[in-house]
Amino acid sequence: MPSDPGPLLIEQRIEQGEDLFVRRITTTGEVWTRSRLMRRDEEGWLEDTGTPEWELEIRLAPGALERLRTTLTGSGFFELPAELRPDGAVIGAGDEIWTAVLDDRTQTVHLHAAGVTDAPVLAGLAAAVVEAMAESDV
Amino acid sequence: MLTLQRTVGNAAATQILQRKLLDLVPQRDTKFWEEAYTQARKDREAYIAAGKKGPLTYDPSKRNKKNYYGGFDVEYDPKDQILKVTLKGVVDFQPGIRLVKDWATALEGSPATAEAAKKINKLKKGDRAAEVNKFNWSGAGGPDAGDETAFLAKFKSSVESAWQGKHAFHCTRPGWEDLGAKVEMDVQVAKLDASNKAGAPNHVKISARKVPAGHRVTEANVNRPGGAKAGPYKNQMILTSRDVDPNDSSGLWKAIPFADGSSTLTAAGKTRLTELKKELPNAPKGATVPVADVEVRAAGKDAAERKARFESIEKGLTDAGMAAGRIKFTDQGGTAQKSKDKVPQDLVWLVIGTGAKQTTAAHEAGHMLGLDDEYVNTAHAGYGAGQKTEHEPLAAKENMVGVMHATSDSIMADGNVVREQHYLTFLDALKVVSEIDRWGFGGPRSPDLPDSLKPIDDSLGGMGDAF
Repeated sequence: MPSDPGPLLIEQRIEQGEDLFVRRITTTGEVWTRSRLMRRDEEGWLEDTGTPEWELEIRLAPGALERLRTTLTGSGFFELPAELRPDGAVIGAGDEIWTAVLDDRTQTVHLHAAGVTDAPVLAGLAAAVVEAMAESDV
Repeated sequence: MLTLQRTVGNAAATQILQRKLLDLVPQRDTKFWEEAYTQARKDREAYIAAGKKGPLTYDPSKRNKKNYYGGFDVEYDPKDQILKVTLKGVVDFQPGIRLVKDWATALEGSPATAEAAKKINKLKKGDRAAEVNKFNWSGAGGPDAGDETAFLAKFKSSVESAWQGKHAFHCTRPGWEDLGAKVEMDVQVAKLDASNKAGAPNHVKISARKVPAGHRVTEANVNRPGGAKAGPYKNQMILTSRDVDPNDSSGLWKAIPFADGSSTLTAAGKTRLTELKKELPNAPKGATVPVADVEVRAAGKDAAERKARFESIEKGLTDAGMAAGRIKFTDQGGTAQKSKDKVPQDLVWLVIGTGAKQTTAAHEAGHMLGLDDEYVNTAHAGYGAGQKTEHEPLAAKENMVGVMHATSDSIMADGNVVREQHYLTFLDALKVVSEIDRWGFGGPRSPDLPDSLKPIDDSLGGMGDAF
């Protein structure tokens, strides 16, 4: 497994407590994931039960990759502020960190309290990623 | 007393009593104290005869500047001495994963469910639907018959049994001390539908994501869009289907490894003790709130080895700064459990507090009751060991010291013990609904009689709070 899957087009990091799931779509359309899932072992201590090494999930079809680029370009992602916070505080929710690189633009958006904070641009981007993977799954 | 009433009126006389200006009245003025006592008893009886107080909706945000979540209804029945706390909610049953064009997609937002969806997508397309269906409630075709009804029933029972009847209150107004309040919880939850909608009179909308047995998820939270100003009917709670049962494991049990047949801690054992101590700060100076003790269940081949192992652990913890009085020895006897390492090591178990497993729904309900987390999370600002919680200001009003983030068996930390600090919002709600400011912890007690009315033997004890 590669130590780094390569330059990213889009990366989504889901963080919750000590747990982590990362999905990276490279500029060539490869979708890689890795995870850290801390669970108590039989001795009461936290151990990682996730998949810490990068793992290839799927290769996007050329058409799907192109449509994802187009969606990203017009999504408004690059105009978002660096942090999106909930309208009111939340006790116990996780975060998502989205990064995208397109042409000469790089943008990282930290979504606090994912699933609670209203973030239609990121929801649209997430749906486009799912659509691209489903379309490429032949 | 009559003179006082005639001079300043009944209401003002009562206020004067409450302000303890009675200290100015000589104790030898027995007639005054007897009349004051008699009047207080009459007032108490009239208060009870006037019937129930409330119900009203308690908004924790209006009573504690640090709060931005929670809400519940309260009613006080002085005749039966019951403070009834009612929490109303609707449950939106949602799938944890769904299929989008045969592609498994996580809706439950945790890293664990994202990983589970990825694994399902490794299956052949035709095999995915059955796996995804395990993340559906029965109402949407999922395989666990009756799971929605069971969730509603377990939510109600787990929250009610966790929270009600743990502590009692008594009125501290002179002559009213035998007026008490026991807490009864009534949790009313129904499936979200056209006739059961989010918003008043429901305090919380619960989004319950279905996950199958064995799927371990850590996500659960309470939030209120709009924050403190949004009011007590705008709360949202996110749970999974498993959160109404006790958790699979408890973070209150820790194994400490010893070399086989030795009473010397391994390097890993030393590290674990140092890490553990960081989560278990000692009580601050003047603390009235207890910190969790640690029970060392020492196992070993004979009594000498067991005692020596205990002493090694005790030294490791005290060297890291833990007060020695918090560390208890239990002779577990017999042979130590072995670790699963290549070279098996002897394990000695440490149990923090009761060691009992928490039920997540009962913990999250604590937020609905206006309480903050108390556990330690080094990744979360404000959650460091020893830092104050958001319900600490209410604690300070009651002269409680030591409400803080720490690993413990408390329900707002890692366990299920409801301590007095977890009844602070109930106490405050009682003050609001009863329209009496003077309440304290502990059940009702005999009123403090004036000395002249006390039995002879009892009168030697001196005067009480006022009489």
